[in-house]
Amino acid sequence: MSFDWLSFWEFLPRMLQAALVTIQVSVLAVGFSCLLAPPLTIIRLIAPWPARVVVGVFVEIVRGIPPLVIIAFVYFGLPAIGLMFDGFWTGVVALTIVGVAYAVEIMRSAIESLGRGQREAALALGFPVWRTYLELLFLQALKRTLPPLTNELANVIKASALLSVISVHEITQVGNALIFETFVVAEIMVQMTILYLIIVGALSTLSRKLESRLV
Amino acid sequence: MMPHQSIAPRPRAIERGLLNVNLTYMFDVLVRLLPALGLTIALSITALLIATPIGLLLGSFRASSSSSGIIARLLDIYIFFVRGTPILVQIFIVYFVLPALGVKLALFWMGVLALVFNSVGYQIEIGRAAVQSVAKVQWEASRALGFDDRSTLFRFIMPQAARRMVGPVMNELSQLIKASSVLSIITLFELHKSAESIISADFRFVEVLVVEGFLYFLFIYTLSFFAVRLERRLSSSDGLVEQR
Amino acid sequence: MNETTEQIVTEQTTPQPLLNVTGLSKHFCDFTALHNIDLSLADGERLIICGPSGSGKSTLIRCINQLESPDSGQIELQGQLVGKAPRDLVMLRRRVGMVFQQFNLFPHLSVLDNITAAPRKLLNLDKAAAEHKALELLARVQLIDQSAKFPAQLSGGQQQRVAIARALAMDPVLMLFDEPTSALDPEMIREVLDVMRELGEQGMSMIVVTHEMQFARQAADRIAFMDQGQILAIETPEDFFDNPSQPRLKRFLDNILQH
Repeated sequence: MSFDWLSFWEFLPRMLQAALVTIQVSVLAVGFSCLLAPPLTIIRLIAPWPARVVVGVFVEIVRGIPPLVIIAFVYFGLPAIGLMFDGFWTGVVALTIVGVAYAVEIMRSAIESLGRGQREAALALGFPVWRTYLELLFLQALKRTLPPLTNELANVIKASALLSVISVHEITQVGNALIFETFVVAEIMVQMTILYLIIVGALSTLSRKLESRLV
Repeated sequence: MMPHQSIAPRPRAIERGLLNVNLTYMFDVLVRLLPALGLTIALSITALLIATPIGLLLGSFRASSSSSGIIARLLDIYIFFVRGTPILVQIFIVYFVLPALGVKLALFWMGVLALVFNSVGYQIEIGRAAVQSVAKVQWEASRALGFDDRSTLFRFIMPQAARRMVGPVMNELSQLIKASSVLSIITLFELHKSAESIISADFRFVEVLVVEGFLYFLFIYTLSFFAVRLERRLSSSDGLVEQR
Repeated sequence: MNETTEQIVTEQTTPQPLLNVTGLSKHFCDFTALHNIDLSLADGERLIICGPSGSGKSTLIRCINQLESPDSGQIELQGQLVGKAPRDLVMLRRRVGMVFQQFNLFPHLSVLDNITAAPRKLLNLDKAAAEHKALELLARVQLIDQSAKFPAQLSGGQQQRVAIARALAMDPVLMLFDEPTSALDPEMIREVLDVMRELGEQGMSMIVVTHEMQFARQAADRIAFMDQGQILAIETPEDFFDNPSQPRLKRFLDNILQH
């Protein structure tokens, strides 16, 4: 069984285009998650009781359900309350929901792992609670969040493959379609694999660089 | 058999603002989904029972001194691959490659195999961390008593490592339950696929999805709840004095 | 008047005590940490609180700067009643400094930044002024050449002295010390106590929870003995050590002065 290099090069452009879609969805989802997570974490930590519970419940539920079900919910369920997106944006919304929930959990436990001492020292100096968290604790916790956060964001990128079920033309969907069109299996699988490894690998490298910058 | 491409198309006319929720229907759906939930659990637990011992073994290998041998590098490549690609892709590989190699497996076992393949990639790390966390003094004490490395490993280190793995392994079970939903794409009738087929018949999206989500959540949340208690119980009877 | 919770009226000429605590109580679940405590501190007075563990000493001073919120009772600082609103708490804490057993310096900031953080962010001091003040304080605690270092690079005694400087940077009217030397290696206790002693001699009002009896004898204006959530005795050092009125106190002194 030899490697069909002809098909390999023939399909590469389409796969690369699909990779672009994967990257777009991932970047948007990861970006929104990173923007929304810090304020939500603060709410989860120090807001009055009702707000904290709402965020807490949201995080627990999203983390306790498979991402595929969340995608299905955004795509099929949200239209019932008037929110209907196309495939691509469903993907972004669904993956953001997943990313935010895990990110908030990671940030929360990172801050709590700092221990009571510093929080009390800051309060004793006269810092209001919210400034204590935002200006002192958060910054420190950032370093601790980077490894688990990178891991979670890699999961978001991998979850983008699930968007193939709602016909978003990302790597898995296009690859799959090609396989069924042309019955060329191995070569396309290799392409899919390599593309994902590159994208996820790039994220890891980026995060490692960021981590070394923060130390 | 071809895995289908997408679920039922979204209906054009959707009631705006009105969530038509019928609790009786939802309860009925819940009961209909129970067998599928059973399949989900069967898939996940089977995969866990196979993957965890492998993870512990390979992990302790990885933790030991032969960390730059060729097998170690192969393991690293395997882990890099499993962690860097979506589980869906891994499922497709099992689904397409196996028949091509002439291996005929029932769909259930293909699913289990894909899950094991994925889980081991993470459990090697769990096993390695657990073995390494067993204090060095245990090794020293055992060697001083005259046990060789292999005996030490199996008699003393692994049992303690196994204890420390409980928490991460319970978490891994949660991950497996969530991952099993992806097997719906190769038309394995676990929870998600069954929910899908009910939706294709009745078109009552929100109600079915809520029931499905509820079932997943119930299981995973209860699991994590007991995992925490179990872990606390086990670590308190650990006997090791923690040196800070 | 209840013997065990005496209301001490200061004999100083200033009519108004700096700090006046009345009826302070605090429960944790079903455990009463503080039992209707009354306490008064004059301006410039140095009070030391000692007692067995679990007696409520730490809880008491943590209630004073509201790190713990008392269940009942009231606190007056400089004649003003301390309210419960977040704003009141913040204002209170800016006037009361606290030094912790575990130092609690900010590990990601240098010594200088640790000290200037609060004045710059809370009092809106500009960088130059804040740093100038910080360096003065560092000179006072004998750490002027460590300003650029990070907490992890300092010894316990040095860290605690930085913590004292950090608290002083806010110009508090009252300093609270919660077992400041209990986490230190024996060799470093002295350097911290020296700083505290000097601070007291320069007129700072302070309440110190400590086991260091020598220090208490030398540096305190009054010493209070607490047990099971109550102040059993509050005397001058001479009366406290040489003439203990309470049997429980006597037992405590016998045990701890043995070595």
